[in-house]
Amino acid sequence: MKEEMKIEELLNGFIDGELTARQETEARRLIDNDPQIAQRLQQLQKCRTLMSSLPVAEAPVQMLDNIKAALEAKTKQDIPELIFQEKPRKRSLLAQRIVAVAALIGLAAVLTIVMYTVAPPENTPVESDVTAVKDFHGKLELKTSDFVAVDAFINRAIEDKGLTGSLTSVREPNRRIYSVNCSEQDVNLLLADLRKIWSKLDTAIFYVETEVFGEQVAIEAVTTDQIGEIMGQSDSTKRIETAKDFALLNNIAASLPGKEIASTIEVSADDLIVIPKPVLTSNSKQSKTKEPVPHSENDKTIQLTIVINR
Amino acid sequence: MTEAANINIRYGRTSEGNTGIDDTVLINRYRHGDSDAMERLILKYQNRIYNVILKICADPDDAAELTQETFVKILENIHKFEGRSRFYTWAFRVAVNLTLNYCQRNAKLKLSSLDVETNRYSSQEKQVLKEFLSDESSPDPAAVAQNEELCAIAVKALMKLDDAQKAVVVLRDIEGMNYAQIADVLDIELGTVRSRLSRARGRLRKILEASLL
Repeated sequence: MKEEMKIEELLNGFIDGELTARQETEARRLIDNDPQIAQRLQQLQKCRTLMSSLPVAEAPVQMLDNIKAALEAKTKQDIPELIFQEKPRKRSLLAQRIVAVAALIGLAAVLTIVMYTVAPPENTPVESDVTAVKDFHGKLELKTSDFVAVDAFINRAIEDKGLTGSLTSVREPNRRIYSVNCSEQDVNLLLADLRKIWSKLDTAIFYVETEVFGEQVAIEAVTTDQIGEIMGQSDSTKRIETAKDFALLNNIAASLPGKEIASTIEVSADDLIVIPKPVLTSNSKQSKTKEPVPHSENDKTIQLTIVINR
Repeated sequence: MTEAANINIRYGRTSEGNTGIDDTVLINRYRHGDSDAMERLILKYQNRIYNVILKICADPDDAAELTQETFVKILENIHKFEGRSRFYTWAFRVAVNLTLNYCQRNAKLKLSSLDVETNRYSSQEKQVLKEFLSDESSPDPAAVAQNEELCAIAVKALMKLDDAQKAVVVLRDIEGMNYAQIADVLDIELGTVRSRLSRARGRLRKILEASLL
C-alpha cells in the first residue's frame, strides 16, 4: 500500500514536472516496464487536463469599485479616532476619551490599592511616581502641492526615527494622516527632519488643544522651531500661552509686508528650543537613533497627529 | 518559460496591460500614496483570485464577496508585507485562508446543497465522460475546454473533494502554481503538497469512475 502511494506521488510529480533528474529516470523506467503504471499515468493526465481546462471565471465588473468603496468606508470609520472633526463630534469624542481615561485611572487606582493591600512591595517609595498619561496632543495640518514627495519624506522620517511601533496611519487619495505616540525627544528629532521639507509646504497650521472642550489654538504659518518650543513647555498652561503668542505673532507677521516677524523668529531659532539633528557616526543605523540620551525627569508623552492635504 | 509567464498566458486577457510593472514597484508606489498603483494591483490579480476562490467555494456571490474582502485585507495590511515571499503568493495566501475559513463555517450548508446537485449526472454527461476516459490518445486541453459536458462533470467532481484537497488541486491545475508556491500559500510542507495532491487526484479518479455506474 505504501509502495503504491509512493508510485502515485512519483507519477503525479512526473506529470507536474516536479521530479529531480533521478526521480524522473526512475518514473520513466516504471512507466516503460509496467503497463499498469503506464495506464495509471494516462488516467492521471486526463484528470489533470480535465481540471486545468475548466473555464476561467472573471470577477464581476464592479469589483474594483466595490473594493475602493469598501476601503473608503473602512478609512472613514478609522478617521474619527485620529483627527479633529467638526466641533459637535469632536466634543463627543473628547468627552468619550476623558471618560475612558478617567475610568482607566480609576480602575488602575483600585487595582493598585488591592495589590498593595494584598502584597505590599518592599521598599515602596512614599511618593508615587508620575502617572504615564499623554502629556500633550497636537495636530499639525500641512497643505502641499508636492503631496507625494512630502508624504514620502514624512513616512520615511517616521520610519527612520523608529516610531512605526506607535504609528497609526490613514491613507486617502488626497490626504494622509499619521499619528505617533512618542517622547519629546523623538518629536524633536522628527521636527528636525521635517524642517527640510518646510519650503515645499503651502500652509502649515499647528493646533494645540486647550483645557476648554472643543477649543484649540491654531498657529498658522507655524515653523518647526515654534512647534518645538510649544512642546518644550513644562505644563499645559504654559504651552497654551506660548501657542497663543505664536498664533498672534504669525498673524501679525502675515499682515506685514515682507513678513519680518516670521523671519525674525526663524533667524533667532538659537534662542528657542534646540532641536538636535541626528548625526550619523557610523554605517550602523542603530547608532544614529539609539544613542543613549539622558532623559529628563519631565520626559513627556506626546501624541502628534500630522495631516497632509493635497 | 517561467511559471508566472505560463499563468499569464492562461489569464492572458485578464492580465493584459498590467504585467509590465513589477509588483514591488506597484506596492512601493501605493505605499507612497499612488492610488493608481493600487488599482493596477487589483486589476492585475482580481480575476485570478476570484477564479481560485470560486473554484473552491462554488458560489459566484460568495466568491465576489470573498475576493473583495481579500483585497481589502491585502491593502490594509500592505505595510506588513516585507517582501520575504512574493506578493503573488502572499495575496493568494490571504485569499485561500479566507475562503477555507469561510467554507469551514458554512460546511453543513454547503454539503446539503452539494449532495443534491453534484450526484446528478445526465446520461449525456455519462456518455461524454465514458468516451473521454476510454480514449487512449492524450487528451487535448483545448477540446476539453470546449466541451461543456466535460467541464460540468469536472466541476461536480471537484466539488466532491474536501476543502484542503480542493485547494491544492485548484492552485496546481487551475492557477498553475508549482509545489513550492502551493506550500507557501497553504503554509504546509512540500511533502504534504505532494501527498495531498496525489490523494486528491486519486479521489477525483474514483469520483469520475463512480459517476459512470
